[in-house]
Parts: sequence; structure tokens; C-alpha cells
Amino acid sequence: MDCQEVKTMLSDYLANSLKSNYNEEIKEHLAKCQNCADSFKKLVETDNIIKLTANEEPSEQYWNNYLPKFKTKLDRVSTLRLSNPFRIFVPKLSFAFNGVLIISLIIISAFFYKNTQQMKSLRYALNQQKEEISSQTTPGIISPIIVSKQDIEKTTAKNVKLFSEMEDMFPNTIQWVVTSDEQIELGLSRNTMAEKIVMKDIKPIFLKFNILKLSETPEIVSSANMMVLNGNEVNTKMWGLSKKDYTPYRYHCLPILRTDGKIDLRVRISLDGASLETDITAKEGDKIELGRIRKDNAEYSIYVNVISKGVDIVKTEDTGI
Amino acid sequence: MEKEQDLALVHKTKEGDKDAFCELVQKYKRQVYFMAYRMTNNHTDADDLSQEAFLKAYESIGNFKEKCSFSTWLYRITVNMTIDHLRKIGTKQTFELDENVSIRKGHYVDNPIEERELHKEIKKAIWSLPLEQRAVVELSILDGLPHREIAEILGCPEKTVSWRLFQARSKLQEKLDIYRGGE
Repeated sequence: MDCQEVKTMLSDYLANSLKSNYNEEIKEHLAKCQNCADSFKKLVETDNIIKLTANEEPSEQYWNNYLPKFKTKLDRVSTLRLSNPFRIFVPKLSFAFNGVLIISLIIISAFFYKNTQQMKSLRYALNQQKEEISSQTTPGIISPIIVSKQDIEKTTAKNVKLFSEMEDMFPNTIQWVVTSDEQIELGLSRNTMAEKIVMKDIKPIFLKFNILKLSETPEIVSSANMMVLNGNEVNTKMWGLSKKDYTPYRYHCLPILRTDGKIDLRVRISLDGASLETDITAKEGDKIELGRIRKDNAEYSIYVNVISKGVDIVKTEDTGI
Repeated sequence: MEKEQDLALVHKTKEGDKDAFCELVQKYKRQVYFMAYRMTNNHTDADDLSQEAFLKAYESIGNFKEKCSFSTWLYRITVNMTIDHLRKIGTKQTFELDENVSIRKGHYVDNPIEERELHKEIKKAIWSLPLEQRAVVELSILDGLPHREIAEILGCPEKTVSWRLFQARSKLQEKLDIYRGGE
């Protein structure tokens, strides 16, 4: 292992996150290489400086009041929203009350039976979508799905149930489920930084940003940030670019539609500290170069691809029941 | 053992036992508060965010599938809420020490004014990092969490954690170089 390799691994070595064989190699290297030992010492010293901020502390009284304050807030939360459908509350009240309760349960059961068929079609459609997502996207990409109102009611209990079922189908990918009067949005992402939005009567447009590294240099971008400035603010997203030169990114946004069907976009892209802001007019299917960003010795070309409008993946007939 | 104890409390909470959840709050209040405080540098925000994170955890505990530890799940909620908050407030930030917070006895510098200035400079340096690098610095250097757990909290691969930490350390080393060797 040469000095350059050792230096790139010192951070992990200090965090004790290396495999044991690497640990031993680095330990041996540091014992005989003064230059690397000095680099390691600098890292440790910098960490120690950063750790000084851990000495900041609120008063003892604050900590004493923390739990009572939380309990007060907790008491205001009237019901605990649990996803366990088997948790049933049976009140010990009058015979008449229990009668009403049983009738209500029968009505609710009938309602759920009706929705079962819709859930089945939804599940089928989502499984199809799941396959598409796994084959076409990379981890960390947001792929919202729009589902029509008839499929699922917007009650909280139902949302929790839906969320739970979706989560089982897409382990670690479902981030949010939001309903509006017109539609339900499912946020699928492995990145927990995804945010949510509810918009009525507007269908989202998916923008796919492509970052193409033009020069063969070793620099790597650690974070990128895309923002549509003139749309309804939906989400910004940051992720680490891998060593691959070409990293696709799908952005979910609601830009303003013009009467001619085109969209006006003002986009800001940042790669670490370097940023680019530009206005474009595009229509569905367009692939446009937004511009180029130079960072360190590397140059990146940024493309945007307007993929499609939001799609209703489930369309069920209103049976009128 | 600790994870099992937490899970026992989680199960009780799922059965409706609020006191069991309060035991979890008592146990993790410092970690959750400090996570929010170090990222926001504001006591009031950290207090609100940490209390809200616990409330959110309580409300959604039915969705906690126990695939990771409770603390990881709780950290994830806190980090996400804090990042959401930071995005909303934008770049406005003061690096002065919050009046509700004091510095425990430090050994780095003797003069309290110098010490406050030093804290200010350290925070400035950390704040200059991109948000996700700041989160990794917080979780790795200050909380001492392993990369695997940080990856679970932030929802990214371990290699990304490793790379972000490497980059953050390089930048911080450069910015804080003049303070090295003070001990």
C-alpha cells in the first residue's frame, strides 16, 4: 500500500470503519512512514478541535423540564395512530351501544370489501411499476406515482394502512403517501430527504437531469442540488455522484404550463460550490443542454430531459355503489 | 441488550403504553437534542425539533418495522426533520453562542472570550460544508456512530458516508489549520 492509498483511507481508519486487514496494514505503514503519520496526526487534531463544540450544553433545569414538557405535548395527541389492524378497542358500555357498534362494523366491513378489489388492481399496477423502477433507476431517485381518487379513501387510518402495504412492497423505498381531493401521491425513494407536496388539478412533470463529466480527471462531485425556481417548490435533492461519468437524476416538479403546452423553467444547478442558473422553454420529450459547470479541473455538462407528464397508473370504473 | 430493552419499550408503546415511550424519550433526549442543536446552532430550534421528532416517532411507531434499532430510526426522523427545517430557513445563520447554552469547562484555551470565538470559528467552518457532509460530521465525529449506522440513518451507501467524511475532513482541516496544536 503506497502513501497515496493510505492517505485516502486515514479518515475511515480514524472512524474505525475499515476492515481489520486494512487496519493492520495502515497501522504498520504509519509506524514506519513519518509523512503519513503526520497526516494522521493532523486529522486527529482537527477532530479534537471539532469535538470542542460538544462542550456546549443547555442548563440542568432545561433537562429537568424536558420530559414534563414532552408529556404535556403527548397528552395533546389524542389518538395513537397505529398501523396494526388487529388492535381493536372494545368499549364496555351498554348493550344498545354495542349493537350500534356491531352494525357500524358491518358497514365498514362492506366498505373495505369493495375496496379490496381496487387494492388488488392497485397492487398489480404497483408491482408493474416496481419492476420498471428497479430496472430503470438508480438508488436515491424519486419516482412519484399518481393514483386516482377512487382507489383509496383519504382517511388517515386508510393512509397508514396503505403506507404499510406499500412499504412491504417497496422495502426502504416508500417515503411518503399524500392524498388530495383529486389524487394520491406516493413518494418512492431510498433517500430519506425526499419531501412531499400536494397539488390539486396539476399533474407533475418529471425532469431527468443528466450530468456528463466531459474531462478525464479524478475529481468527484460530492453533492449536487437541482432546483426549479419558477415552479411550485417541490423538493431539492442532494446526492453523491459516483465515479461513473454519467449519473441520471429524476426531479419531480410542477412548473408552469403555457397555453401552447410548453413549460418555462428557471433552473439552478449546484455541484458542490459551483452553480449555474438558466432559463429554458421546453416541451415534453425535449432534451436540452442547460449549460456547463467547471469545478476544479473538471467540466460537467448538464442536460435536462422532460420525460412525461404525471400518469394515472390505476384507472377504475366508478361502480356507483 | 440495549436494543432488546428499547424494543421491549417499543412493543409496550405499540400497545398504548405512553409511559414506556417516555422512558425512551428520557434515554435519548440528549442525543436527539444535540443532533438538532449542532446542525441548527440554535437552542430554541433544537428544542422544538427534538420534541417534534419524539412526537413524530410516537405517532408513527406503528410503522417502525424493527429492521434497524430504535435509536437509528429515531435519528433518521430527527435528521430528516432538521434538514427540512434548515432548507426552509435558508442560509441565514448566526454563529454566536446561543444564550441558552453555556460551554462546559474546556481545556483548549483559558480565556472564556477566546473560547467563545474559537467555538464560533469551528461552527463557521462546519456550516460552510454542504448539508449532507455536515450531517456526516455530526454523526461520525461528534456522535461517534459507525459508518454502517450513519448509512442507515441517511439512507445512502456506506461508501458515500466514507467519501463525504473524507471530503468534510479535508475542508475542515484546511479551515481550522491555524487552531491546531493548541493543546
